Amino acid sequence: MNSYTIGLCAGIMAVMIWMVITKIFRKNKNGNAYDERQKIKRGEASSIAFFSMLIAELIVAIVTQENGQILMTPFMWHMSIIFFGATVFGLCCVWKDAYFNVTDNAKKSRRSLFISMGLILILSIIGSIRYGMENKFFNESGLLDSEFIIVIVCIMIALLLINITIKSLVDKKSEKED
Amino acid sequence: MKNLKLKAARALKDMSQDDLAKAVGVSRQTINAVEKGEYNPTINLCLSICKALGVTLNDLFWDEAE
Repeated sequence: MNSYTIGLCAGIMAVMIWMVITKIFRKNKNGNAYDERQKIKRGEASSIAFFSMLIAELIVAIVTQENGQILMTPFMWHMSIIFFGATVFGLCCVWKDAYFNVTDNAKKSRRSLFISMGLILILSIIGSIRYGMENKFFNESGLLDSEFIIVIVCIMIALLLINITIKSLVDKKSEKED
Repeated sequence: MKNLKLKAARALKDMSQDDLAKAVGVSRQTINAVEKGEYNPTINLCLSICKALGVTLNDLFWDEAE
């Protein structure tokens, strides 16, 4: 196992532990976080994301079977598809008003989400530019390598931020009409 | 089909969608979806809404035209 794989596994484990702790903390404090409509919409979003990933994986499998490895390394293809699924899930949840739960203060949550996502976006843009200038995106075979994940993160966060901004504007309009 | 009875009952109590949502423990968008007829609430949510507005299920959710 190289240092990159160890780092990746450690990162995944840290996120999983954080998710479990957050869930335990939330359950004790507030009970059900999402209302009945939000749960249904999140279920629909999961389904859409799952089938999007399935189709993307199928397309990549067929294309690489026919033409050999193209554009990216196998690791990067799988990671891209995972990020693609996560982005589809996030976009669907935001658009169906099932991203922020009932117990959260929507305005506070949106503000802290904007700040944290904005920071990640800025850091990943800086990282992308640095890696790009150092020509680290491609391996010896000319395929996009693991460093390219940072660009995918940039695209994912930018899409989510744009979606949340548009949705917030639509929400404000609907709140005024009420 | 839009639920105008719910909107009227809410207006009568001088409650915004947000106020009603907080009273019944759902998001404002859920109340909005119920009023617009985009979401059919469960009986539990119907009861909570009725209790919060001080009306009966028939007042809000019974359609006499059917």
